[in-house]
Amino acid sequence: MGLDDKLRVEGVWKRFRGRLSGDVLALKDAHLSVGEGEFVALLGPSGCGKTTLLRILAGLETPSAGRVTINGAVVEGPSEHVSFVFQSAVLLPWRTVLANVLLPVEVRGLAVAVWKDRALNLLEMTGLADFVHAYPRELSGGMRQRAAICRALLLDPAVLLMDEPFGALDAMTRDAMNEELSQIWRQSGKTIVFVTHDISEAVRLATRVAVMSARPGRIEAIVDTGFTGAEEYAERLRSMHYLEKVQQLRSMFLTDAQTQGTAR
Amino acid sequence: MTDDARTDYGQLPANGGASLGEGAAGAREGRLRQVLLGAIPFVIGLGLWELLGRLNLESFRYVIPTPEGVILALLADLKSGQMGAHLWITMQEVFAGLGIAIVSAVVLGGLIGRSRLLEQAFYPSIVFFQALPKVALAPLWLIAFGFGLGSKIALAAMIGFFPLLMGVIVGMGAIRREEIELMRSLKASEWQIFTKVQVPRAFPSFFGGLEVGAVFALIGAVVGEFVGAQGGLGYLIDFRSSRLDLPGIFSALVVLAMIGVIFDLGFRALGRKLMYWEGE
Repeated sequence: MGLDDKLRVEGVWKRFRGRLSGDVLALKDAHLSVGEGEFVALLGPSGCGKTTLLRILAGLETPSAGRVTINGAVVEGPSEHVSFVFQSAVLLPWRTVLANVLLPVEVRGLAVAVWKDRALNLLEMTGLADFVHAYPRELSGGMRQRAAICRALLLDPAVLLMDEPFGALDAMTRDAMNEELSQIWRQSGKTIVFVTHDISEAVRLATRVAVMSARPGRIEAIVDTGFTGAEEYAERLRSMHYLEKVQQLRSMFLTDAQTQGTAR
Repeated sequence: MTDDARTDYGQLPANGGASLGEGAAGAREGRLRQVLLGAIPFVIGLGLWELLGRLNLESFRYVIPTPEGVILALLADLKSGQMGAHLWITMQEVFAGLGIAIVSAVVLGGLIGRSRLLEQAFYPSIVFFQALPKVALAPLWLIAFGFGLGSKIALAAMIGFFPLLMGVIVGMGAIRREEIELMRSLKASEWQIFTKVQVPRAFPSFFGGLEVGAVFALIGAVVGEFVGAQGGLGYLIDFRSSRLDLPGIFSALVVLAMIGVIFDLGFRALGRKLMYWEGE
């Protein structure tokens, strides 16, 4: 990709110091560039380093070697251009939904009154208008994750990093959330990096899929899904191309598992 | 695991209001049942007591007064204002002691909870002092602070301090890893993480420590009065026992038990109010 890459991963290694079992190589020589407005999925089995890579992008973890840049600037810690969405919603239970969504405003020391309208708009857009003053425990898992996404979108970050955000949801809620996220992405034009271990979820959402494998964690291939976001989510799911892509990725993981089996 | 449970709980948000209403009615019914069931052993105990008193057995005469005698003694104490005066002294000791215990536990526990270094430095001495039976220090406090309120306040504070400290330390660790990460990803300062997440998270555990600490402080004050005092409920019991005034002793005991019950109910109600967000 060119100079206008939003996000670049250049030869990133990550080694974790193990206490008993010795060092673990979580990530081996990862290269990735993500263009502005792209939706890239990091796809792989557990232990492939996909979450580690995402956390390095977020500045929550430092690489052992190599570097990560956002807008050309080297990432050295959490950035205001980036929002992170965790596996669980991580809402503070003593705050109402609205107060949770406004947390980033408070933390940055911005005027709550100025941002409140935007928070309410986001909550309305994600179907939480009736739950603005509810507490997190009154919400379903899907609604909590929606609130977490509103919180992530509030300050209008350029990049959204999502770590299996729908992994804990049931399949039907998950599908609905996929559609909503797809819509948010197509409307907002944000750059999204999304970690998942679900092949079809990756193809449902992404423009490109980074296929990762474990021990040591590495990027095996980067596959273009052929979708650009110009098409509707439902349209994408109906297409033959979608099924073909899922099949193609599935076969990549199957051969991967087989070669590992014979090697052992 | 807990996450799943929480998710399940939240699966019926559409009629969330209705189910919450039912929950309140159910809770009321449950509380009524609790009160009724809890009253049974109490009533049986009172009956047995009355029976023992009426039998007027030789071996019990100097150990257990009759309920009637106790009630009369209590009424007399209340009427003369004697009980009120002693109660006031004991309460001053308890609340002053508890106040000192709370402030020192919050400061020390807060520091220990924030710093690994301080935790390592202080933990051994905390364990040492916790293992020490604090009531054994009562005579020492008497020498140091005299027969007035001071020595009882010191003992109440010292005994009430440890459950509070433990509550604060455990509470400081109650913050979840992902909450720290969330705050870090929002570029929050350490102070913001502390005030916005760590302190509220510490509340339930701090309150658990407070409930125990308040009762412990009461024990400390009464024991302090046993050792040497000029007033207070413990003094009253000690004084009356030297005269074999059994109904008089029990009159003071009933008042002490009532204080314990009021503490328990009061702190629990306060806890529910402050931690509205806790639990399912």
